[in-house]
Amino acid sequence: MAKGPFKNKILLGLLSAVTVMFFFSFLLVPLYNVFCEVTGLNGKIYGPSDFFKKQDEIKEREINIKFLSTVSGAAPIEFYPSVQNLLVITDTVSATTYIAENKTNKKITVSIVPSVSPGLAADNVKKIQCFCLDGDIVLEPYEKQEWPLRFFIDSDLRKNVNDVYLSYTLFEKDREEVMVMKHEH
Amino acid sequence: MKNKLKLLILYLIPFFASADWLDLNMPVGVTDISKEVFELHMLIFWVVVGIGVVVFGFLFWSMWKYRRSNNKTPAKFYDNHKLEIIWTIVPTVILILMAIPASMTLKKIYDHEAEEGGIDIQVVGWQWKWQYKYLDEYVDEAGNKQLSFFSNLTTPQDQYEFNRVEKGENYLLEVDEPVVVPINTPIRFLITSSDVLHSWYMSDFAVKQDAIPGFINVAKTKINVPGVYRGNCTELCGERHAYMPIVVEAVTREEYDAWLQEKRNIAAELAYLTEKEWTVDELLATGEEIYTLRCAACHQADGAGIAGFYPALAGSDIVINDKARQIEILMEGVRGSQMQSFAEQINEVEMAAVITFTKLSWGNGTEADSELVIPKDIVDYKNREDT
Amino acid sequence: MSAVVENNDHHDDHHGPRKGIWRWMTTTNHKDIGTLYLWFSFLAFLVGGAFAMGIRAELFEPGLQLMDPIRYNQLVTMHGLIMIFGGVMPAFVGLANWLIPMQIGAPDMALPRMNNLSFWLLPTAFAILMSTAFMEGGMPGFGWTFYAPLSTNYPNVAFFVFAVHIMGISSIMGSINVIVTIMNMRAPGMTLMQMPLFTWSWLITAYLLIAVMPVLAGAVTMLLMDAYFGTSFFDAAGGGDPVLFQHIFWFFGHPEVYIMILPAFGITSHIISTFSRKPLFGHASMIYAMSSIAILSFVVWAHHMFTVGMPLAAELFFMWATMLIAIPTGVKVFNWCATIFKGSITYETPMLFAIAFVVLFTIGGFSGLMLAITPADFQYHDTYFVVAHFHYVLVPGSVFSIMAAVYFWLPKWTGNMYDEKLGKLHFWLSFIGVNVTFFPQHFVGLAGMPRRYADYALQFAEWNAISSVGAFLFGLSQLLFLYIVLKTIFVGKKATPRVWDGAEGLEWTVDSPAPYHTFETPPKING
Repeated sequence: MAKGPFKNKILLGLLSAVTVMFFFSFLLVPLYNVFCEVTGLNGKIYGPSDFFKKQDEIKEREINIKFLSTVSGAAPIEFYPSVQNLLVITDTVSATTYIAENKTNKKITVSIVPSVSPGLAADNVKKIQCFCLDGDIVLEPYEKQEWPLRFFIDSDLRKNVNDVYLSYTLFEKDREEVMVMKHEH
Repeated sequence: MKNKLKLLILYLIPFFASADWLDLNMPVGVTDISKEVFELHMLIFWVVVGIGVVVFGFLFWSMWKYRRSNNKTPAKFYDNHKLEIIWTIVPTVILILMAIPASMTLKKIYDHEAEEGGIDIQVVGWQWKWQYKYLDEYVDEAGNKQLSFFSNLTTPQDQYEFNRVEKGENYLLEVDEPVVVPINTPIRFLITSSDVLHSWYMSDFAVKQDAIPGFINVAKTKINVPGVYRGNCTELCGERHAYMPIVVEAVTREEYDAWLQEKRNIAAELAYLTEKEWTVDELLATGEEIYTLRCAACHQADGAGIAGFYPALAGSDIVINDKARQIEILMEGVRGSQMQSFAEQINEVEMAAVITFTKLSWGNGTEADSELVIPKDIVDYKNREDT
Repeated sequence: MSAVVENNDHHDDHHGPRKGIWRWMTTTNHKDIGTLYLWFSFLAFLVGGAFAMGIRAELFEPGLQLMDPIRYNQLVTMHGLIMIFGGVMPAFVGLANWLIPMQIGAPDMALPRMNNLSFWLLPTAFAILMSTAFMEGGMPGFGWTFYAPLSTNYPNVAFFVFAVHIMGISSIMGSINVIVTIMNMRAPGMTLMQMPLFTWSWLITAYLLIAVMPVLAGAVTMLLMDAYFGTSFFDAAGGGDPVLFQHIFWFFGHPEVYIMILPAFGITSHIISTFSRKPLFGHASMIYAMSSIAILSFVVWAHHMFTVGMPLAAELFFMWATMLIAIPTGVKVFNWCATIFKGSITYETPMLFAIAFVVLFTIGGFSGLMLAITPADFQYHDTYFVVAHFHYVLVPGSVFSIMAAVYFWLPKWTGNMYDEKLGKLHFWLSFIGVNVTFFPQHFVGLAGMPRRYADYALQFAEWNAISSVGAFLFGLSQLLFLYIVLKTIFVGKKATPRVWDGAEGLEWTVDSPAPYHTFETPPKING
């Protein structure tokens, strides 16, 4: 009585729904990134962007940029912006640097994650050159590096936003002992 | 029987003696936003109380009126379209009326309008402490060293873990270094995390923002009333989630400037302190203080650690025999474990002192047979790169 | 359990149950499997309750008295996991097994062997989860919401992940079974809209489960990959995003919340109508209300994350969407009130639990509405106010409805009446216990006490002490519940087939106890 094509069809439908939903959960990952990009959620920034864009309306104004740095997990690295504040004019390229110094006798591999606040301004921060796009960076023992950052703020930035915070978090990915000749006394 | 009741009441009176337990409601707070949020909260509260009175009133009245003994024959109706439409529309209208003020307050909280003379403070959540960096303040003349400090719980373990001494007034709400901010000044807290999620919660400002590793969140406030305000971490961040309070001291502009000056003086003094000759007793005293505040939570007051989580320091080979490795661990942390680098968290004197303390405690060694560590060693370690 | 064996023996059309333990291991009978689910959930309820007692004992006064914070976090986590996945959900599946075939006039569930498997996966999953208690590093201690990156770096997380996978498979199989049964095996003439409300509520619940359990499976899989295979879904260092975890989790989590309350709506509707001796007011609008709650549950998830720093537009959207849920929920409460209005009401134990459900669930709904208001949520979020809110909807909500259901259908299951006096005593003890436990938590929450705290500031001491006393009262009175159920099985008075004089529905047309096989020839339904 309960057997028949009807039952199998529902069963099949339900099983495929389960499968679809399982893969949907993985699909949420790229979907979320698209969503973030559109809405500026989390202040995520993607890719270098082209400088040559529409110039129809020029509404030059000054934006105060503040630079933040965070070292994740108290890695033995000093990481800080070379300047704290920068007054920039919209649609004009500005440059600054961040400094990272390995405080150990080990080789340390790091990566940098950017974030912008307010999140909605993330879309208007156009990076031409950023160490955060370089992937893993290796710091030799005691090495001090200066990392360039070139960007501009496009004039589409919302009118009521005058302060933009650019934040970079340094994550330590690998730490390697370096063999050195030790002086025995 | 009567006596027993009397005893019970007598017992209950001191139980309720403190007035704190009557704080049943959300604090009004000390900022314009917190006041607005409080009013919004009360508005919604009274709306739901009103709905509750009407609905429950009707329910209880029907329950009493139509009990079996009073009403033998039940009615037979089972729908009434007019009524159903009414009780869909009326709540909708009430909800819209509630949504309007709520949306307006929310918009105000999210307002990005810049205000003159604001202060930016970066807040970093750590397992299990908060770090504060004043973005525009420096403690040295040259402007190289940003004003930055860690804020640790100061309630002693004797109070919370062993319950050996009476709990203080600000039990679990006291820290060694509060965030000091001026009143009537817009303040932006730029909140992030160094490890897992945390959340920076200050009820008196109606501020609660998650601290997320790699991302920055902003919370704005402008405090109207000077005072000491206490808050908590509100996102489960592991074992000592309950032990990383927040203390904000709101002071006048003059007091704030004086505090900044004092921070600069302390920084200047440090150079002298590292040069000075330290006696073992001095080192031990400072070391014990630092150990209790920063180390004992994991490695335990008796240095025994917690098996499976935190290694013991008592009897540790590194502590007893390997001075260089111990300094290295404190300076660099241990990757993949909870052990952080303390290079930025404590100064050279404190680090030397705490190492000396571990070497001379729990039977690890005596002054005679241990190689002690003095502040100069740490300074040398930090400057060793050209060896 | 063995008593049920004896009681069911007299009916032997072609084959009765097997004897002994093998009956329970191999059974494909929906009543047996329902019984297994119900006993399993009761056991989980006691274990999870014991964990809750541990939590409340530690919180009785400030300071750490009984355990270190690691252990405390483990108890909090396991309490949540056990109560949700071992207590409430299996209890509802057990009720579904017992009642759905009987309510729609079907001889059994559509896929009986899968039914057996889906039950026996459950103890397996919990054995895996509990085994971590004996390992170095211990049980999971990252909260039942297992937010990354705390969970990705936690010891024994793989065991947690596999346990959740197995629970998920069990739930999905159970849901498939429910849907296939309802769709194919209704008695001839029973249209979907005529179906009893409990069955309806389960149909909706089953669809929710099918939609979201795979998402949970996906979330834990990503977690596992992050923890062991070097991916960075949720790890900012590798370009992932911890907030993404919360979005995926709550995309599952919010429908999950309704999975735990929809069947309760169905149960309450049956009981209130029975004891008011009046047809349920607005049968159709109840169905529409449940469906709209289910649909809305997919678009409100981020109200659990108002403080993660979403843009204004998102906060506004999720606030408004969440407030909308109040409308269908309100309709249900009004319908119940209108059912009672002009009834001829008696107050047996199931009715007492059902009324308490309506009142206390509504209180939970009120605090839910308050929590929906985003600016105010910045104050409420992750404080005891939230704890009070979800315990009000889950304990006097879901759990009371399960107890009401047990008292209501127990005579049908066992053939014996429960002891009304003891039942009422159990109700009043539970009612007082629940309110003494959870009402003060509103106060400490508003005053700013964060949740998941092993220790707290002195200003919260008094209310926490009261809350702990209430928790012990509530917890211990459940032993009385156990006693009542056992007493009913072994020495209860014989029940009539109808049991309650206001009872309507196919399950009341069969004998009490219900024969081992019911409706082998489908009953006739008059449209």
